[in-house]
Amino acid sequence: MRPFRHLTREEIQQATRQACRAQDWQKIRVDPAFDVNRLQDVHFLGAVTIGKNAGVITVGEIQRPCGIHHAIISDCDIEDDVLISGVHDAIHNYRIGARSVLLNVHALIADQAAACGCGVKVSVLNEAGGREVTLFPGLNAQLAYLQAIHKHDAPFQGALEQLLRDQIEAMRSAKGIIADHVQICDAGVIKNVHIGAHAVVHGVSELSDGTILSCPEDPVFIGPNTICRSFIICEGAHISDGAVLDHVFVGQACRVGKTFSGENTLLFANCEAFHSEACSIFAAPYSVTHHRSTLLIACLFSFYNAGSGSNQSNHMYKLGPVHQGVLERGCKTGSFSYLLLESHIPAFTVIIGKHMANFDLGDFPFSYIADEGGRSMIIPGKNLFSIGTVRDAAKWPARDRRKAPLKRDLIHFDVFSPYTVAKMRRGRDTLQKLYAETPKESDSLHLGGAVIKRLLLRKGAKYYELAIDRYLIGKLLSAIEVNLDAGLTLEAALAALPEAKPLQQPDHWLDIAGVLVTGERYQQLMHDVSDRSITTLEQLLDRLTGLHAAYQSDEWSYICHAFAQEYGISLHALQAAPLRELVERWQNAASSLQALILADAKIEFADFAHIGYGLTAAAGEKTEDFIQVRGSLESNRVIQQCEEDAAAIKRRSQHILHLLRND
Amino acid sequence: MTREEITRRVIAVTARELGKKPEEIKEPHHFAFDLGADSLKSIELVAAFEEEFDLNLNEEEALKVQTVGAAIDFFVQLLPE
Repeated sequence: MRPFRHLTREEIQQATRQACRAQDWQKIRVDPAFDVNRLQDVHFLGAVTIGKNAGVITVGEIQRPCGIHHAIISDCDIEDDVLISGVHDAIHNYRIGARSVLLNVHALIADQAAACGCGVKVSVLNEAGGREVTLFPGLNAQLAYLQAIHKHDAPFQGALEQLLRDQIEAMRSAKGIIADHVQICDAGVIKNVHIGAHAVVHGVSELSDGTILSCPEDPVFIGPNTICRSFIICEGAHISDGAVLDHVFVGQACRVGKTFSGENTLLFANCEAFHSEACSIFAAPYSVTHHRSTLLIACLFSFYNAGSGSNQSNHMYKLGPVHQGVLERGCKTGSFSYLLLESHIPAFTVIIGKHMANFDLGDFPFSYIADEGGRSMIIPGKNLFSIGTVRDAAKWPARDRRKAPLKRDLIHFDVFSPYTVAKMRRGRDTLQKLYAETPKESDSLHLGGAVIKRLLLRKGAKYYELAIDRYLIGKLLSAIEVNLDAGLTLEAALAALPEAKPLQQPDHWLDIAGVLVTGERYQQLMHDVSDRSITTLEQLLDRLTGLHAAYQSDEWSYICHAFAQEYGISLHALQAAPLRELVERWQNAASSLQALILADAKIEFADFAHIGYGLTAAAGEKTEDFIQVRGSLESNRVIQQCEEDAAAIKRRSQHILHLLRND
Repeated sequence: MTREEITRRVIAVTARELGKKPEEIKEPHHFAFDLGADSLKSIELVAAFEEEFDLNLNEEEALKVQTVGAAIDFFVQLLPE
C-alpha cells in the first residue's frame, strides 16, 4: 500500500481558492509529494487517491505540466504524473495509470466490477446464432475456432464453457483500468472499458464495454470518429476514421478504418478491414477487405482477399438469416463476386462472378470457380500456377506486423502442406475416376455444385499430380541433399533421415484458423478438454502451442506415408536408380509449374496491358510510357525471381544427380 | 500421322474448343490475340489436344506454342509418320 496522506487544511483552502471542491475532503488522499498547485476547478466525489503530480508530460509536440483541471473525479485512483484536463461529464470508478493523459474527454465511467467486454457472445458464421464465441482477453484464433466450429461435441463445449466462465470471473476488477502511459484526447463517452498501456485514443466517438490490450512494444491506436461497443482489441491494432464495431474482436496488428462497419465479427492477426461491411464473419489471420461495396457475411476466412463488391448470402432468406460459408485459407473473391451460402470453398481458390449454386468442393484446392453464362465452372488446380499465389505465399510471413512479446494467434504459413497436399491427392483421384467413367461425348458434368468440363478432369488431375510430385519429392530431396553434400553415400544419407512417427489417420489434417494439425492430435486435445484433464485456459493455450510446434515432425510423418503410397517404395529404402528417376520427375513437375507461373506473370506485360498508355505520346512511344509506369518485362523483379527460380530447379536436379553418380 | 492429318485435327479441335468454324482458323493465327483464347480457354485447348492425340504434354514445352501453325509443327515432331 502506498503511504497516502490526507490533504492539509492549508492545501484544502488553496484547492478551494483554485475552484476545487469535494463531497468529503477526508476521502481524498494523496502522495506525500503531491502538489496542490496542480489542481484547478476539480470536483471530487467519493474516495479518490492521487499520486505525485509534479512532473511534466509530452502531449503531441508539447510538454505540459501534470495535474488535474476542469474535471469531476469520482471514486478514482490516480497514479503519478497524470494530466487530466477538460472532462465534460466525469471520470468515475477508474484507476488511471502513471503518466497517462486525459484531455478533453466527455466521460470516462466504469460500473462496479464491469465485465469490460469479457463474456460478450459474438454470433459468428451464423447471424441467427448457434456458433457463438465468448470474448475474453486471451482469446486467440484457435480458441475461437474451437468455440465456433466444434459444436457437435457437447461434453467438449460444456468443459470449454466452464474454463471460459472461470477465466472471465477471475478477470473482473472492481474499477475500470487505464494503464500507464495511455493518452486519451478529444474523446466522447468511454464506459466500462479497460485500456492497456501506451494506448492512444484520439477523437473517438464512443467506446463501451470493451478491453484494449495495448502494450509498450505494440501500442493500440484508436482514432477519430470511431465507435466500438462490446469488444476486445489486441496489441498493435490500429482503428480509426469512423470505424463502427459492435460485438467485435480485433486481433493483434489489425488495421481497421475508413468507415468499415463490423458486427458480430472476429478479426484475427494482421487482418485489414476498410470501407466495407462485415457481419458474423470469422476472419482468421490475414483476411483483407478494402473496398466500400463489399459485404462479407457469415463466413469463415483465413488468408483471404475480398475483391470489391464481394458478397455472400442466403439468397432466399425464408427462415431468417440462417446461412454460413467456409472459405478455406488463401481464397480470393473477385470484383462483384457473389457466393450463395451454404458453400464450402477449397483452399487457395479464386471466385470470379456470381454463383447461384451451393458448392461443396473441399477436396479441390487451388481452383478457379468462374461464372460462364450463368454456369459455375470449376477449373481445378489453375491457381497452382497463378503468380498471385506465389506472391501471397511470400507476402504473408513478411507482413507479420505483430510486435507484442506474446503473439497470440498461432500461424502456419505453408501454402503446400499435408493439409493441401492430402486434399490434392484425393481431388486428383476423384478427377481421374470421373474422367475414366465419363463418356467422351459429354462436354461437362457436375462436381460439388459446380460444373466441370470433361477435358478439365484430366487436366486438373495432371496439375495436382505436378504439385504433389513437386512437394513430396522436393521435401525428400531437401532432406537428403545436405547429407549427400556432406559426402555420405545414399544409403547413409537415407539412414540419417528422421524416423517417421506412424499416424493413425495420416491423410486427415485440419486447419484450425491458421494452425495445421493432424486429426488425431486435434481429437486428443478435444478429449483432454472434455474429460477435464485440462483445467485452465492457460493449459489449453499451452496445448494449442504444442500442436503448432508438432507440425514439422507430423509433416515429415505425412511425407513418408504419402511418398510410399505415391511411388510404391518406402522413402527410407530408396535405391539410386529409382531416386534418379524421381529427381527427373521432380524437375519436370517443378519446371512445368514454374513455367506456367512465369507465363502467368508475363500476362501482366502483354499487349492488352498497354491499353490506355501513351495518351499524349507520339506514335511509337506508347511502350515507353508503359515502361515508365509499370516497368519492363525484363526488369520486373517478380519475373526475374521466377526466372531465377526456374534456373535453380534445373541446377538443383543436376547437382543431386551429380551427387548420386557413385551410388 | 501425316502433317495433313495433324493439321486437320488441330484446326478441328481449335474450332470446337474456341467456338469457331474450321475455315476461320488459319495457321498464322495466334491462339490468344487472333482467336480469343484467354487463360481458361487455353487450358481447355491444351487438354483437348492431349486427348485428341492421346499425349501427356510437357507443360513447359506446350507453353511455347502460341499459334496454330506452331501447334501443327509441335505435334508433327511428337507424332512421327
